[in-house]
Amino acid sequence: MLVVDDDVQFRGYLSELLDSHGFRVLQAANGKEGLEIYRRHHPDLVITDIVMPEEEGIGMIWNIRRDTTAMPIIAISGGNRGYGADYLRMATRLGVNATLAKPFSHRDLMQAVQRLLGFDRQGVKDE
Amino acid sequence: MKMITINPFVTRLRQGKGSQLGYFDRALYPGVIVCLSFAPGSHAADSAGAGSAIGAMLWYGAVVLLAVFAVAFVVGLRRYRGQRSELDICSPAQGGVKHHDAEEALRAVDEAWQRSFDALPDFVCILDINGKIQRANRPLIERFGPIYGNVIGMDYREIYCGTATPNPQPPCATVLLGSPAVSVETTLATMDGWYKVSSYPLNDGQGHLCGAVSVVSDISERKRAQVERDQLQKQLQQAQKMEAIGQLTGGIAHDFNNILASVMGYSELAIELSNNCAASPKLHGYLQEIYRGGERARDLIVQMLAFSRGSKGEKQVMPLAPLVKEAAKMMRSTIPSSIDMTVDVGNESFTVLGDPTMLHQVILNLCINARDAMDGKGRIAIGLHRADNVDAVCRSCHGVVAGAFVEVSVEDSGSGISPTIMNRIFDPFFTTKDTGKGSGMGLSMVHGIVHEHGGHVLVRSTPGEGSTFRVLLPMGPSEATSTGIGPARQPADAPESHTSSRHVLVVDDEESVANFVGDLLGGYGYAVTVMSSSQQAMERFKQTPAAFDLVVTDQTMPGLTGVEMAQAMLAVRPELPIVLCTGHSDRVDAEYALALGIRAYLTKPFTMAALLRKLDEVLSEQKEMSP
Repeated sequence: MLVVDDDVQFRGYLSELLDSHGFRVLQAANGKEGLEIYRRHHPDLVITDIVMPEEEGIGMIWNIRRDTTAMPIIAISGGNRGYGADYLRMATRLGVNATLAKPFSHRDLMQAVQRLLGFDRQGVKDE
Repeated sequence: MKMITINPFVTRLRQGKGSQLGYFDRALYPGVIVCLSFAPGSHAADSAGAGSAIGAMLWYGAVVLLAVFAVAFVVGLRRYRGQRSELDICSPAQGGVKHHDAEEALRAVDEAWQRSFDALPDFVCILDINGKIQRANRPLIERFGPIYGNVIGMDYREIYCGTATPNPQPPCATVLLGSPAVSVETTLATMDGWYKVSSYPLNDGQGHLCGAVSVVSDISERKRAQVERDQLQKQLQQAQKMEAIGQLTGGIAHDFNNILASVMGYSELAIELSNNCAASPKLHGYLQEIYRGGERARDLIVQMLAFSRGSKGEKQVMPLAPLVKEAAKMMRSTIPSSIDMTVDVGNESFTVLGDPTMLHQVILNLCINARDAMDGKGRIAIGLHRADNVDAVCRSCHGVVAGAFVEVSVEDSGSGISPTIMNRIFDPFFTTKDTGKGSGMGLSMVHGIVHEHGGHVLVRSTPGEGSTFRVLLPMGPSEATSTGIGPARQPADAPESHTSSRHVLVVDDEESVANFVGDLLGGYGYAVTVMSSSQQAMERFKQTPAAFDLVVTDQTMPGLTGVEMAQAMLAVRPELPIVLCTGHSDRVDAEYALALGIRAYLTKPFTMAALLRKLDEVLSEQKEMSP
């Protein structure tokens, strides 16, 4: 699983959470790094923030969608810094599978993960 | 004996005024002297010898002379008396001015002075040391004469204060007590409006205070203009303050949410951990409190984003009546039965373009405030109707509100809002409720959400009687089209919105960049035509100018630059939205580009999000502009 977020603390938390649910987690600090890791490791799911330095999540999502529409992507965002544009809506238009506004609960995230991967909480694949 | 009788007259003639009496000096006085000297029986006649012929001749000659001088004396005396009466009133310097001429001169001077006095547009009067009016100019007499009759002799305080013993005394009263000139701007008991009341001390010839000059000028017009100016200034400051707070709030919300996400995430992990181990029960409780604190902070950020209009929501054409009814129903359960609540939705067909959740929040917030403004009893009336010909000023943004709207009103019979805090009620965190009972964000959210929907808020309140909040929202498409009020607007997220159906011409001589932008926009839902030559792009445009809804072009290109191409395109279609992308080294600045009619301007390198955002803005503007 690939987690892309420029906030190292939040990235650490997500990794911890997913790890506790049996997922192996790769981390990236921005869209550019995330795209490289995605292309190198082909994760099962990408969780990405939108507003990040160097390369925004939007760009990474667009590049992933150019490669494939099958990769499950969850976009997360803390808001829009008052620009007036809604990044999560933008990400939805680019084809992400789920969006979550920060802060969200464990349950919200894990429900989205399970829905996209078909795994239960213990990481056992549903039939 | 005769000398003695005449002497006082002669003596008088020789004294003082004699110098002015040339007529007597030259004729009357010598004649009398000669005549008396040669009269029979006098000492001079005796010495000449009685009975001689010469003597007789002299005698008769003297008699004739005496007669002549007697006549002259009588005439001279009459003229002298006449001159005396003139001399009594003439100064030495005016020795030659006759009586009636002096009176005329005096009268002319006085009239000239009075005319000048009357020409003053202000109310001017001269007061004696007791404040009694000695003289008043025409404006004052015309203004107060019909009320008081003769104002001369009246106490000036009666004229302006309605009583001779006002409390407090008018400021000019101090002048009559010896203070220097004073001037104040004030209202007066006997006249509407604002006046500048000035008083100047008046001294006699010896420099002693003997009265005052009072000048009262009507400054109502200036004061009114000043009040309006001050009001506008306050409105501007208020609008700027709201805008600044909104930007600040929107700006920090993202970062704050990120921080909060970590706080809440880790605390939730810790809670789960504490559930699975034999940690202190207190620790579990503490962690839950941290998480709950995070939830409160999250809710607050949501409210602040609503205020800052950072929450765009999902707008749709929606009927308002069900929403109003639902909110009223929800409120009913929280309002004591001693409060009478009525709902009048009138014509249920009213629609607006809005986010139901956010508008629901607006109605709830207003109802909660109405409930809290009452001490457990009273009346709340919720209304929905059409408001035509609105001409007012928005209470929260202070913008002018005009036209026709759909109005949701919430009226209560509560404590009302003091005028002193009226300007602050929409400020974030401003509350009159007890600590812990109100966040101070309720009306801030109302402000943000209503304005996000293109609406405004009007407030009418009387302390002790209650308040009415009127939320005015632009009419939805059905209302607007059926009544001809304004263009119909599509929902922001409707399938036919400005993305999928829009055709974008992308022009960049760097083929990879052009394709990249084309792909991006294609992925976003646009129909895209990519051209790597500006000249070919121009040819293509000329063939079907109406085929393109938007042009995104680079500036630096061989043959035809972005600006040149844009100008050529705008010559054909002036309303065509064009987004110009330039490098920092290009000699095109935003101002120049906008002056040419180019709608938007992006400096490379720009992020994809920035480009999408810009396109979104430009197309939204275009949609609003198009009929």
